[in-house]
Amino acid sequence: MTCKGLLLGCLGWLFLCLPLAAKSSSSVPQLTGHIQLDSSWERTVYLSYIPTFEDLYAMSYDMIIAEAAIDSLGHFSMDIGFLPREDMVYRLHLIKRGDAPTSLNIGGLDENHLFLIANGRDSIRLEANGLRPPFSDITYRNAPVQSAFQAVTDFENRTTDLAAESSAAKRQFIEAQMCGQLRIIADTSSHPLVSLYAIYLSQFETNHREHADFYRGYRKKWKGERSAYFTAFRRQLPGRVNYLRTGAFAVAALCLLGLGYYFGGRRTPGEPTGLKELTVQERKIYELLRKGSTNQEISDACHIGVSTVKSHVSSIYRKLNVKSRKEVINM
Amino acid sequence: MRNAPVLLLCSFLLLSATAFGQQNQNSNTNRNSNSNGDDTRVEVEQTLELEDDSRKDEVILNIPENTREMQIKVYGRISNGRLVIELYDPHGKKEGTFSLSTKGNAGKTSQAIGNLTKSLRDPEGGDWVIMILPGNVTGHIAISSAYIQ
Repeated sequence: MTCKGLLLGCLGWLFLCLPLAAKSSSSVPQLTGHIQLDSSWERTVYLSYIPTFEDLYAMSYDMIIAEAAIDSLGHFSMDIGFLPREDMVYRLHLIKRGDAPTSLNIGGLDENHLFLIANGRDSIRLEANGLRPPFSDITYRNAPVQSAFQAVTDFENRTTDLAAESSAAKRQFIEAQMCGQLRIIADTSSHPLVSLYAIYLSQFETNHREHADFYRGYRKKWKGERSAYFTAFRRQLPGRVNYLRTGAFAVAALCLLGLGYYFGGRRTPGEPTGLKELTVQERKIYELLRKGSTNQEISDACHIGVSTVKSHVSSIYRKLNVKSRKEVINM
Repeated sequence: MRNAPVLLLCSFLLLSATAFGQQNQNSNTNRNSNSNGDDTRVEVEQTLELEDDSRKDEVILNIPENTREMQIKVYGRISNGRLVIELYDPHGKKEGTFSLSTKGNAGKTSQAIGNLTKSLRDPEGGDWVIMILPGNVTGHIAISSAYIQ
């Protein structure tokens, strides 16, 4: 009687639970969340598809793919089952009352957006615990990829805020440290999009030459990644090093150096004294000076004002211990 | 103490000259400078109206050396076309960007709006450049900069 009762009980539970389990497994994935909004914001949240990391700050109607109402308590929920099954980057954004849905605020206390990774398979639950900007102090529940992605954003935001409040010299140091740390995150992250996001935040466009070995290794590590994000990244990063051409160039340079040494006596070949002290920007301007460029031409080439060019030129003269352009050209 | 009014006048004239040195667009520019104790606050506002415009343009904001605080705000609102705004520091480093497009808004009357804010303490002195890259844009751009010395 006991065994029979137990068996019947189990069957009964199975009968009750199976449909529930089936329903649960077939339910549409949801993006749900809670956000604290003051009365200046519309109570709608928009989801946009970000096709490449170059488009993080692009805004147009055709990027918006879903929207959901935010209730009076700040809760929202949207179906995301229609999203592609693979992970992609999306942006949630809010708008101020009276603004167009295609409104993007970058920086400041009214920053209105949040980037996240999502797919059409998994539900996501987020909590925005800050008030201004509304998407601040974000936490995700049981979502390691989203949490890792958010950790990169938080790290960059914290460091950028700290840099903005620091003196110019300290800011340069903080930013250099931040970029280094982001490269470490990119190197150690196992998720391709989290990794690539860290690369984009590390300002790779300006420092890829300084860290050429790192980027060579990075490109090799993710060579199997065929997503639009990596394709765009590879397009932005200068092409693969042609070792044959580089080798030939090096041999030719060595020959020229040898000839110079032979014909020029025992003068030590190499860079003029003080050249190593020049900053990256000063080096660029130095090269332009050597080509005979005017201040206006340098200004156009470097996207800086003529007064800034003059200031760089005086600094270059001081470091190289020269007094005129003619001396620079003759160096 | 007796020299204070002279110093104030000199600093006002110097800062006004800097403000008048801003590149003049086909736009409205308002300048406002006021002093409070040791602080001098300079505000420059510029607006540009674009009508099916595709000409690349740049606005240069000259921030003096030894500026204590600076805030640059760039607001773009377009009803047609594609607009890219880029902000560069005096060393040519990109400090911010946004792009707007009305692509896909057929049948809708709304516009696309972008707002970029950059605040810095002890900013780099020199020319901060705002690049305006429009593609058949009809719209409005407002740039405001404020700095305290």
